Amino acid sequence: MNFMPGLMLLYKKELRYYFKSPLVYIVGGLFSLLMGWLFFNYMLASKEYTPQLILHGIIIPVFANMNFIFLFLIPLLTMKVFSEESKNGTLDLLLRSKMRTIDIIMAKYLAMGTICFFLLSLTLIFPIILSFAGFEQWQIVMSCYLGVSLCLFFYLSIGIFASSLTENQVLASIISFCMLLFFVVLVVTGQNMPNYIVGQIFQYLSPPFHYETFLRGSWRSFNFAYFLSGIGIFLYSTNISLKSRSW
Amino acid sequence: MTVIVDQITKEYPGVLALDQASFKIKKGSIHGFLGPNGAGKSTAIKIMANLIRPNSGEVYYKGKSIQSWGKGMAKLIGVLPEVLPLYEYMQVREYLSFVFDLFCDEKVKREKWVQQTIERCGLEAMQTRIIAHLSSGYKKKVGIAQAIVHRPEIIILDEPTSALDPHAILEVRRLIQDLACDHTIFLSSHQLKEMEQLCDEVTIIEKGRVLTSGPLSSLANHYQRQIIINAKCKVWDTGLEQKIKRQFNIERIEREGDELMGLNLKFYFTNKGDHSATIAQFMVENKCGLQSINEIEMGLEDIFCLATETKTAQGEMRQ
Repeated sequence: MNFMPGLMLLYKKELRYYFKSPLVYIVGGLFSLLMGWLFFNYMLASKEYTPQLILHGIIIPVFANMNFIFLFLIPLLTMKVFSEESKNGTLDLLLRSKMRTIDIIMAKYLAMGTICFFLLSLTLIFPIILSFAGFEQWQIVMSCYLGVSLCLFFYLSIGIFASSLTENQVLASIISFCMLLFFVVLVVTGQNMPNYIVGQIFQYLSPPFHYETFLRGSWRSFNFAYFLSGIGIFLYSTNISLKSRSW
Repeated sequence: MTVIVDQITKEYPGVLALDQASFKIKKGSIHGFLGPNGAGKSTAIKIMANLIRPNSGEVYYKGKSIQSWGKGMAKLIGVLPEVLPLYEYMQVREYLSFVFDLFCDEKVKREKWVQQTIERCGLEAMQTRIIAHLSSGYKKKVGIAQAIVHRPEIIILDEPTSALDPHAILEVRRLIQDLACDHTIFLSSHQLKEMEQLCDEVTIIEKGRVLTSGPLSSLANHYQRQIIINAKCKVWDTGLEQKIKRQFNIERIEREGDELMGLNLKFYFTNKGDHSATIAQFMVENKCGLQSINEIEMGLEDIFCLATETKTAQGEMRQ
């Protein structure tokens, strides 16, 4: 990877750090507990295990809640990314190195993404359990995982941006949570807007509006465009935030 | 000149941290950067390390500006900042290998250079220890090791002995002297004695302005207003004092001790010259029982006081 010197080096270092620290395991434990509890309750609530009932009574509600839970977990995971480095003086070490600012951001972003995939992998047990009940709509499950992954990467870019703004980890997590909540609440605001066009714009700007299409398995290219442009905007903002340290 | 800092100005909202600061660092020297707290030392170091940009002015390394060096700067300089950039959960060797990879592409040299750095910094016994478990003295050594592990030509050290016990201070000083054999060192501190012991050149900064800069000896000559001759003898009286004052252009004479225990005399001259020889000759001719005679050299402390006094006086006159 000569075009991004040091990216893999920092990515591996970040992964080693996170998997050595208790944070990932605490967050992973909490996440598994919550998701397992939700899945168990939806299973109990479902009277019959027909493919349609499994899809609408278990799969879709579980994935909808998963997205909601990540709203709280992402600020916890990302609060350290730059604020801790900045406080410890190690961010200056990285910025002085041969790595470009964008490489540093990407290495940390991909490391956080890997941790999120690790958390998601803990939920793979649910579709496996459902397969014993005769569930076979794997394309919907794949679509749900694709949607939640895109949502996660979008949330991560916001969390990393918030972390680049301050040395205080608690403040970074609060900023991150407020920003995430703002984006999520936009969909409710959009639904209640008297002006249809403004309402649609507000809804379009909210991740749940796009995520819902993935849950139904009917996603379009504009859904991808939304997530990818959102990720791009916040990673670019992080780049500017880090570069502004030298102003 | 290896480094030229040319007229750099840095202004933070409401604070002028550096005001057209200029100085030069000679290749192979230990260049001291001296100033009280808040003088602008750390800001200057951050600009020299390309971490912040000045509002105006430029820093040149080997004739090329920082901007033209780009990421090539990573290999050229090593920095020990005031806040040690340590990943405390890492082991010493693991951390140094990581820093080496961050700054240098020559992976074949990694093991050898990391090992040599560990040996040079006296970290052999600590190489498998977690950094968080080390004492502050060893942490400082790891900090210095990260600055030199990729063999930069120029090393910038910001307060390398601050918050250390006397034993650790001596070890770090020895290490700096050892590094001076094959590196150019820029050393920031507000400890005058330390600078005097270590540095060949010095730049004095106060309130963001460079007061003076150059080799210690030439600064001493520049600021020397008086020559003080210290003589120890057995016999001295007011007659001899008046005679010597008439004979030579002496501003004043200070006398300590008595004839029983030995007299200590200080002769203050305002003009330059080889006064110790003439005083010695006078004392021998007048049978004063001369025991020893030497010229008191001007210290960095005197230079610092004189430099700050002069500039303050000039500033007040301008106002």
